[in-house]
Amino acid sequence: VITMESVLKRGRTVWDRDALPEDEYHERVRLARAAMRDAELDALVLVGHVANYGDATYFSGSVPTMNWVAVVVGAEDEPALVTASGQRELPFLASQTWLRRIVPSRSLLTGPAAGVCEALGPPGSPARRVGLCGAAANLDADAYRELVAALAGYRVCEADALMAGLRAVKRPRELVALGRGLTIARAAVAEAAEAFASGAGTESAALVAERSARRAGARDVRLLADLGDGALAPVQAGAEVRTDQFVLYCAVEYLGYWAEAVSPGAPTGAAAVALEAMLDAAGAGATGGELAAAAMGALPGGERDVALGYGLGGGIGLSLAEAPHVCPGGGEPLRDGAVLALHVITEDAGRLAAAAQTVQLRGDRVMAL
Amino acid sequence: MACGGQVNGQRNGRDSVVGRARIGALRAAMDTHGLDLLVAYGSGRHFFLGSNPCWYLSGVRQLGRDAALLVPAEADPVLVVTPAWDAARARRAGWVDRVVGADALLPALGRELAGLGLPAGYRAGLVGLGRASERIAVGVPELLPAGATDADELFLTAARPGDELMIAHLERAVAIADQGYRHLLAVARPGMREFELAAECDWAMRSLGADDNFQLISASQHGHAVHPPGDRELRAGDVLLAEISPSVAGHFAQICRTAVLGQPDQAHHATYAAQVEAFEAGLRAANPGATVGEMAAAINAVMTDRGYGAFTKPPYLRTRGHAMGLTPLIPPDVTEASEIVLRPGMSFVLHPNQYFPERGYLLCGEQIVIEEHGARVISPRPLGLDTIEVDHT
Repeated sequence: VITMESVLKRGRTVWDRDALPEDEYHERVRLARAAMRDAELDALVLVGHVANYGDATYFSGSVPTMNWVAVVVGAEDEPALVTASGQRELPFLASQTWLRRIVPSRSLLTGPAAGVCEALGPPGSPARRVGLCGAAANLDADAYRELVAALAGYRVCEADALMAGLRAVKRPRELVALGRGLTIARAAVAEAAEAFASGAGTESAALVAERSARRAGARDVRLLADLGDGALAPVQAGAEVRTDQFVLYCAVEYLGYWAEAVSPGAPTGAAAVALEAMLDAAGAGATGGELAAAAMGALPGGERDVALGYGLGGGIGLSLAEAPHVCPGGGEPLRDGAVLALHVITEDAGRLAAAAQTVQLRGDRVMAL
Repeated sequence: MACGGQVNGQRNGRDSVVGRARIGALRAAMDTHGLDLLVAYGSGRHFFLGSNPCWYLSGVRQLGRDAALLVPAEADPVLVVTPAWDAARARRAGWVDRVVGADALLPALGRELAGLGLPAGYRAGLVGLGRASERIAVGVPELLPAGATDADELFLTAARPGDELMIAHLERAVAIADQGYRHLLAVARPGMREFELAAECDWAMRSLGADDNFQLISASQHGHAVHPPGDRELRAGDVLLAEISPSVAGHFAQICRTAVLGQPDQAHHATYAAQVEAFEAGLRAANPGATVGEMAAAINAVMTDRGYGAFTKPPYLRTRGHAMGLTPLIPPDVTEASEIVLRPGMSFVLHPNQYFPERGYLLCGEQIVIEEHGARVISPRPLGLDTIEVDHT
């Protein structure tokens, strides 16, 4: 449930061809087309937002700088990137994606309807069947309604489940990108903790993490810290405080892939015990609900509510929080090869405490990343 | 440096006075329209090209996707924020006394509406719901009596830009942008990568209190547009472009600056001088009562006179400027087609940024505010092409 929506991308913005070469995307499109055939879909329309771009970026590699983005994957035609940016940005955008078809927007203030229809082409007769993914969640209502109206000539169905299936198990190159992100996040948190230990104020120390991560190539950084009020809060310099402990949650995005780390890096106490319980319960076939139950079983009553409030984590990848979600009642079985970012943030003896670990499921075990 | 617009801190007297004045202006407009309640939605996906009525009216930067402020005509306002654990911070940060935290907006909003004691069949207005997800945009009206009306126009009237708090935040944002840019000039050197430089500039501004930042920083020997920072290493002779837009309490301000690594040549100076001349022409035209289109035309006329008329339109540029959140964006774009009339209190970035065949794309822009007798550039820094010393040894 940790959620920080108010973010503009402003860090390293590249298509790293070594880490994610063009053949990686060819393979993703091939697998998607196989799933489309099974679902009897003629095209997929994947709509993302700068705060939640995963499905679109999975095929394009391009992470939007602001506002929405869409990708259209047809049965045979080359996929198209539909962007909120205008013509001026086309040369730069072309350097960020393997896709050659880029449809710009007429204005930063309009939605993707016109561009998506241009990329899709005529509905055909009988009307083509289009799987729509992420539009309701990621578009403003006005833009969503405009898109739905524009697609009225097609046979439209929801395709969120299809995409969740494709993204559930991380591909080898995804693991590499995710691993680099983790390295950046952990180094950033360690630098921040060191600054705090050297006497820096809590906010200044937290901002050391942001600087470190961005200098190491993170495109986006999100921080929450204990600023002395017993709860996590967004970090903004100004009213400099010096807390008696340094608790920091740091999420970074690198090449589109998210990773998270917390300070203290070697936690003890209730948070660590609950995290360990989740790790023990994790494995292919287990459910998010079972992991949550394990954590709850390891925490005293009052601390459970705090931990649930912040969330216990779940899948991570091109989204900071993606399926499967670790929460009470979560019934979706965990898949072999899935990557989970698990965290416990709770109170321990009246103080905020945090513990986190990112793992990949390998059979009935987990491997720490 | 004084710190207005804290996202976490204690509310202060001035902010509360202005905040209550904002709500008072809204209530006056509600009275005119016969509304008993106004629901002002806030999207956590706030960025500089969208307003956030909930934040503007409550003084609270939400952490989660959804927030809403209930403003009854006669009872105290109620702020609902997500997630639930963020309620205590929100209570401290804004000027609304009743703050409710929830993990889902709609059920909490329903409970709070029931507790307001509104008369049966009350009349409600909705503001900002167009920026919500479809689920919320459908769900909120279902909590209200039939006939709830779209009140975006009402908000547009009530939230006239340019109150004391907004201008103070913009002035502070510009001061932060200036200092961020100074830091950039101080640390930039050949061999440094664009993204490393961007990290330094951003860190400087975050350390000074910016709560967010939209930033494009790029360098080249001959660019066609400014873009997000990449891996390119800075080199002697590069033109370094910096479009920097920090936010203070949700109010974004923008400066657009150009620097040359090493000594600029005559073409650099000549093309940049054209931009400065164009900016000043636009500024002179930016008087209350004039239109935005006239201001844009004044800029383009200078460029045309200098022989750059072909580059005063897309794809060589997008616009000559634009307003930024939290209030409604007036003007959304500075173009010759705009018939929007300039009024005191409006503030926006004016930027004659464009492509020049001799030296590529150059940036020159400042946040301005329209005042009673003309436009004021907020930054005290004179316009000028900057130079970054390069050690050739």
